[in-house]
Amino acid sequence: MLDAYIPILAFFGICVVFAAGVPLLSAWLGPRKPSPEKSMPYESGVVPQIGARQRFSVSFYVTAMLFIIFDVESIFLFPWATIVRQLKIFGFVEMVVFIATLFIGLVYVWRKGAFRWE
Amino acid sequence: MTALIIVVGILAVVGAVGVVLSTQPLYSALSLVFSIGMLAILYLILNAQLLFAVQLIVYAGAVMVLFVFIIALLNPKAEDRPILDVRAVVAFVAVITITAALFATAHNGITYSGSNFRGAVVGASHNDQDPAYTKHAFDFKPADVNSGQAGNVQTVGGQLFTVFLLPFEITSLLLLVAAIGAVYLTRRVPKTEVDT
Repeated sequence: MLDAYIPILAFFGICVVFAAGVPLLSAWLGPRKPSPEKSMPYESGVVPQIGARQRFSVSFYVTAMLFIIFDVESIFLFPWATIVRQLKIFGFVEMVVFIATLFIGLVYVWRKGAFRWE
Repeated sequence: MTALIIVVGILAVVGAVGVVLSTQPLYSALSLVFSIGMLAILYLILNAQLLFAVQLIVYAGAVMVLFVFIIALLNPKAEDRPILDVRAVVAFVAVITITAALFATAHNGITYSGSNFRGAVVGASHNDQDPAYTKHAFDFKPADVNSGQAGNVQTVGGQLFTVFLLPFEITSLLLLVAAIGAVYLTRRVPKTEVDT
């Protein structure tokens, strides 16, 4: 039964080898001539003005929160999609009710301007 | 397979210990991702495919993004290493007690069957004689638990959208409340309200 996951395991194995191998290869083959300018954090070619460890705006938090809510909504669509034909019209209606309830939330959040970035 | 469970379980515990022992909050978050991933693999081994996907998509994905944003929002400095004092001893004893109780419960096997709690073999909660599973009018046969289909997506979906329809629909209300609450708590207070 677990045999079905061997390709996925192989995929993860290749990922790990690649992720670990590329930096190692770069350290082994690449020339190293450090200078103070090269050691600076790279900020799109601009000299950094302030440290990177600043407090982030709470807007990011709201975005993450709304992402979780609609992420969980979409999760329920997966098991529903696998059996939607067996559930017939009843399953369709209950999913419409579910999504309509969350659509109210979407409209509310939209009207409140939570998707506007200020 | 038992060996696989033991290895993955140990790795999950290593990740959990890393969460506690890391002094940098971001390293704690990374350890938590690792621990969550190992728990997801445990779900997969135990035939809970849907739970595996949910664990990765919701917890390792969305919830961890939220955690990292909270860390970025509060911008905490590195913490001190935990020290051994009375509180640490009390917490240690409490953790051991709760873990032992959990193991004892899992060993005896308690499942929730809709109307009441009852002892049962873990993983064998489905029962054709149980009215909670037979009274719905749909031609949906839950898979046999012994065939390794107990937690797959169709079986969980079949139960969720028929027997547990009300909890499913209530979930949408819960998510609606969460969306409204998130926007309300982080709203921009108008200047006049601040002054008065």
